[in-house]
Amino acid sequence: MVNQSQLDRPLFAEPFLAWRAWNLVEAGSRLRSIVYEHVWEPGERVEAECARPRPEGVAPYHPAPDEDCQCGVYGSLDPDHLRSYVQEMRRDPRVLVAKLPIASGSRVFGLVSLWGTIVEYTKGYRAQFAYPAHLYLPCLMHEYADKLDVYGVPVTCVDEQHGFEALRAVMRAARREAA
Amino acid sequence: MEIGEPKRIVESDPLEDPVPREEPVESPPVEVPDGEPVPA
Repeated sequence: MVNQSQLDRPLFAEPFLAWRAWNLVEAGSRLRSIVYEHVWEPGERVEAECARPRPEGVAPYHPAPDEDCQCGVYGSLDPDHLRSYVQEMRRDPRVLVAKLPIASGSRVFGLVSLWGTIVEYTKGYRAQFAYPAHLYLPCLMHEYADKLDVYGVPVTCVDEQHGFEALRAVMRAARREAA
Repeated sequence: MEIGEPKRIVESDPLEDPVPREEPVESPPVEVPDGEPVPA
């Protein structure tokens, strides 16, 4: 049911594109949200649900995203805003080895399509629905590119030799694409 | 993730589904012993 407040909102016929980071899990074949550890299944849109704690069996307090909450699927306008995720990896000695260990949750960056109800921010979005649109993988993790093909979106390898440099290369490639 | 300050709420109803659908896969021809291959 469409209510009056929805009718008053600008309506777009294209998804919004934004930047995200994911952890690679399940032997590199699945993307998982970093904060809420939600696995993004191939061929299925992700629908946001408010994660505000509630008693067992009680439905979410409101549809997500709500303008007065922090819920929704997040995306950033600028890949540079994901830099903290890279820096987080830099502090983690497990990911400083040349071969990023998948078991520790190696990071993949990429574009995400966002649609449905979207709360627009100065630097990004909170959205109702999401699906990956383009994934960037350091080439030292190239063997996982085929596994990520299950999402049906382009997977681009970025050629670098060592762990953190590889991720910096991903960011540079992402900026070129956004330009 | 730092996304700044809220600006407005919009609705996006894409004309094309952003979730890719699998293309139908054509079955390979079936080999018949001592004969010509025939389509599956």
